[in-house]
This record gives sequence, C-alpha cells and structure tokens, in this order.
Amino acid sequence: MTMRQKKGISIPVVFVLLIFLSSCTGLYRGRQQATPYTFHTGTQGMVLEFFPGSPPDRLYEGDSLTLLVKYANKGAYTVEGGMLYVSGYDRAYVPLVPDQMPFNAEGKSIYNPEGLISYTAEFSAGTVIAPPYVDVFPQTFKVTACYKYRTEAAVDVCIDPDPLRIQPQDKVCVIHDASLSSQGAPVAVTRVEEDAAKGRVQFKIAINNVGGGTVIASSAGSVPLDRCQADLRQDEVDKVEISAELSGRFLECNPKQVRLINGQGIAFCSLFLTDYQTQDAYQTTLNVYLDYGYRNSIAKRVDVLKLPGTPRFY
Amino acid sequence: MKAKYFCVLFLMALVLLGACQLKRGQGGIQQVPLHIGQEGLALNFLPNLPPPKFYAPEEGEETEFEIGVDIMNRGAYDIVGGYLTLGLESDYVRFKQWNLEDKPQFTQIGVAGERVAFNLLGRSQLDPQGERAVISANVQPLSLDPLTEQHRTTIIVTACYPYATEASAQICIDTDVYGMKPIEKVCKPSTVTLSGGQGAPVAVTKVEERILSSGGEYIRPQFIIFVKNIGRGTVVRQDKVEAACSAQALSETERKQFFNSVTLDDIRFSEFSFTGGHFDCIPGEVKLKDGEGFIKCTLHDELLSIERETYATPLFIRLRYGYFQTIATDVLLERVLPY
Repeated sequence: MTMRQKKGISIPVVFVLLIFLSSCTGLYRGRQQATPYTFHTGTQGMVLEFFPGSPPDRLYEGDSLTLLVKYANKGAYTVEGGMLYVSGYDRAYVPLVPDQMPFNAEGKSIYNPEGLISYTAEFSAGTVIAPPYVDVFPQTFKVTACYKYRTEAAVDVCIDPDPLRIQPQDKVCVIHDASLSSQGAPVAVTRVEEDAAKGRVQFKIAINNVGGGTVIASSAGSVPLDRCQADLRQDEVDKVEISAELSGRFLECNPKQVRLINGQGIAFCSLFLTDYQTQDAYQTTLNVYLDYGYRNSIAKRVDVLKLPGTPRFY
Repeated sequence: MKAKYFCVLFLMALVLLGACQLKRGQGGIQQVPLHIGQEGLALNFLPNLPPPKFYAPEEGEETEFEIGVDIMNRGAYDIVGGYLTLGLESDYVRFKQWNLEDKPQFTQIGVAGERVAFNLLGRSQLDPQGERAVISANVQPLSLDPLTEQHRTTIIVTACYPYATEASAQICIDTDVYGMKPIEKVCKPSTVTLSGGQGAPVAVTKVEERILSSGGEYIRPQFIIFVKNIGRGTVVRQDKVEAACSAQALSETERKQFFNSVTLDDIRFSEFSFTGGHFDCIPGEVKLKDGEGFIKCTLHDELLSIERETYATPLFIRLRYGYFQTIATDVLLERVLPY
C-alpha cells in the first residue's frame, strides 16, 4: 500500500472517529459528590399538557375524538382528590365521556426530586357530529385541574426575647427580614419581616400567587373542588389559609384567611415568649403553611370538518 | 483513489442524513370554503350570440340568429325550479325556439314559449366552481320598415330563481351574564361581522349577540341578524319567483308587497332551533330597505340553564328568497342597401 493510499484511507477513518467522539459525553467521569435535592423550589403545582395529536388539530365528522392529558405535580405537595374537568365545547355535538375525573398526583420527593412522574387522563367521544349547516365546526376543549394544595415555607429567623436590653451582649443572631424565592408551590411566601418586643415576636408574612392560576379559598381545610370549575362565587377565590409554627408552637395569625388582591396578600403572625426561660437570642426556623385550592387549565382548538360529498342539509 | 472518494462521500451523506429531520408533510384534502362570495347565478351572453349587428331580412325573407346564454351557479345553494326568460322587441325580433337538445338542466315551459325552467347545482366540495350550463335560442329578426335603415333592438334575458343564504357565525353562550363567577371563560359574547358574503346574493353581514338574564336560573341569548342584498339583482319573495319571470307585469302594489322580501327559514345553535319552536323571531319576513334589513331572534325562556358552562358554538342562519337578475345587449338591425 503506497503512502498516498494510506493517507487516503486514514482521512475517512479519522472523520468517522471524530463523529463517534463528538457523541460521547465525556471520557472521564470523576467521582462526584451527591447533590442534595431541594424539593421546595419552583412556582408550579399541577402542570397539564395535551399529548401531541390528542386532540388533533382537525378531524372529520364521524371520527372519534380522544383527549389525552398528561399531568404532573411539579410542586412539593402531594395532591389527593383533585378533579380534572373538560369544558368549552358544545355537548350537543361532542358526547365526551367522561367530562370530569378525579386524580391524585405525587409531589416532589426524594424519590421524585424533579417531579418527573407524570400521569395520563383520557377523555373520549365515540362519534363527533358536526352541525349540518357549517363547513367547519371549530371547538375549543379546555381541561381544568382543581386541587387542594399546601405551601410549606421554612425561614431562618432570630428570636430575641429581650431586644431592647441595655447591657450590650454578643448575640448569636440579630433580628432580620428575609426574602424568599419559591417553595415548590403555586402560592409562595415571598417575604418575612420580623419585629420583636420584650417577650413577644411578630412576623409580617407576604404571600404571592406565582403559579399563574386561580387561588381557591380553603376554609378549615376544605376546598369547594366540586364547584371550582364553573360555579364558584366571587368570595371563594383568592383566599389562602395561613398558619405558622415556631419551635413546636403555633403562632397566632391574623387574618387566618388571607385575601389576595392582585395576587398578593399579607398576614401578621405573633407569638408571646413570656413563658420562655431563656433570655438569650437564638436562631430557629419559622415554618409557614399556606392551605388553599388551586385551579389552572389548558385549552386547544379542534376543527371538525366534513368529507367532500357529504349530503347537504336542506 | 475512487474508493477513497466514494468512502468520504458516503460518510458525509450519513452525517447529513443523520442531522436532517425529514419533514412530514401536512397532507390531507384541503377543504374548499363554499359559503363565500356574493354571487348566486352568474348570467352572461355568449360571445357574439347575439351578434352586435345583423342584417334585417327583406320582405318575404326569413333569417335567424342565435342568442346564447351562459349560466353558472356560483353560489353555495342548488337552484331547483329557476326560470329563464327571453325578452324581445316583438316588432323587430320574433322568438322561434330554445335549443334544448342534450340540455338536461332545462325544461321547456308551455308550448314553445320564451321561458324555460332550469335546475343548477351550486358549489360543493366535489364541484367547487358550481354547475355551469349553456343554452341558446333561435330568434328571427323581422324586416324593417321601408323608411328605416337601421334599428337598435335590445335583447333581454332574465333569470328568476329561488335561493337561500346559509350563514354561520361563531357565537359564545355565556351562562354567567353579569360576570359574577370567577371562572376563566373560553369565549365572550360579541358582535360578529361577516364579510365576503356566504355564497349567495343576499348576505348576513353582522350578528349582534346579547345574553339576557331570565330570573336568575336561565339565560336567553338574543341575536340581531343584519341582512343585505349584495348581488346585482332584485330580491323577491320566494313564492313569487315564477311571477317575477312571467309575461304579466306585476302591479305597483304587488311589487311593494313581494319585492325585497326575505324570509327567515331557520336559526339554530346547539339543540335549539327556530323550526323546533325554540326562538321568537321578529319579523319572520324581512323587508329590505335600500337593500338592508334586520331580524331579532330571542331564545325562549327556561331552555338554557345557567348551570351549563360557557361554550362557543356556531349559530346557523338560513334565509330563503327569490332572486331575479337581467342582462341585456343591443343588436343593430340594418337594412341591406340595394346598391
């Protein structure tokens, strides 16, 4: 084999090798530390999505119709007893069965750190009829998820039972405000401001609807999910039940049910420290719980067509 | 050497194919929109039929010329029981016969009269242009008065036919009239403007929708339907189509009564319809003024519960009427000069 021939063969070989090497993810994988997963992040609760082509963009009269909805819980709270509803279409022509169904969805956890577990709901109509008097029958199918949810926010706070003492002292911590990012839920605690007096501490907690959906009022832990899709009253939305706990004791929150205006609301939670023996400041965690219902939806338009040659309606 | 080049080319092709995503075409039969356009019947003379000029016969001679008419149903509705009438200046031109051989769309009326009946299919997915037919008639020009060297005579063809306009407009059935419920609605009631016609000479131009509350438990959608004559002819009441093309002239009273009159045949959405007795419509017969008019239709009470969720659906409207239109052309009859 001549030098030239060898060169000629080696070029394509190198080329092939380059292709293979470029697809490799790395030749050396060093020993990596396990990354601790934080589940209480993100602004989503339930995420809904139509499967591609289900429903299709268009179908013909007489065809069957299937809506396949993929839903996943991208928040940190496990949903139980949620409801999926389908609406927005003309029931006289599209006999969708069922048009609602209950669902459960596991939230993020150590076994599901990124909320990748997804589920499927199927709604179908055996035969879709189009009104005989239109060439194209457009219909919008809206799928709504209604579910109970909880936000759990943990904030490091400094408890100073005697913030105005005269003798200076090295304190373990100082009272401070905290801004928070998301907590793996569509309603988030965005800010906690702390104020303290002798034997008493108070927190001003700011709440924000960050999920893009509708907050439904929870009352004593109960949410009107059966009416959430179409029959809620104005006073049943944009309300969140709040509770807060510090060192095993529940704070007194006012109001207990926070009204959100333009998606935002505040509550004040207080705790008396008179029975505390210690006089020193200490650091601890304030746990804030928000209980509410939530509603979000997706929609898709489907055009129902008639096949050429279909008899006219006269 | 050749092997090396082939090798390189092959590998490059593999890389390219792997990178490419073969696009899957959309495919499917494209639906032709049928209910568009402003025409019903298109009526035209065939070129040179009649000729623009014709030599009148001498006394005792007989000649003929042909009048050819091209008719095409460009609308979306089938014409059944239309009439075609020839109008001639009887002192100068005499009708001889229609040439109906191999013309299944046409039927002679009376005994060798100047009227024929015709049927013509409208546009469909199978025939998006609409059915077309050509018919001709033989006419005889009469000899001119000795003192007349030429005479311009007008040939008129009138088509009278029953027609229907079928319009649909996407409406919103909003069961939460006052917006009391904090729900995300898929639609909102509004005024729908329809442009371009519906494949007929009378068009629905606008539909205004209102949702009336009815004691809290039910709603009553109300629709105001605006109608307009956008064709080039004249609207006549649907049962007076034959009269419009008859030899007898209509009186002024009859014209006022029968002309520009459109009947609401049906209005419907979901399971509710006018023919089913679910609507109150005023007036049932619209008189067009300056070519325009409107009808107000309201759903009966206790039919549509507020518990039903808001949804979008098409509203169908069918109007029935007769239509007539005329085309005319001149023929110059000339005497042959004897030199």
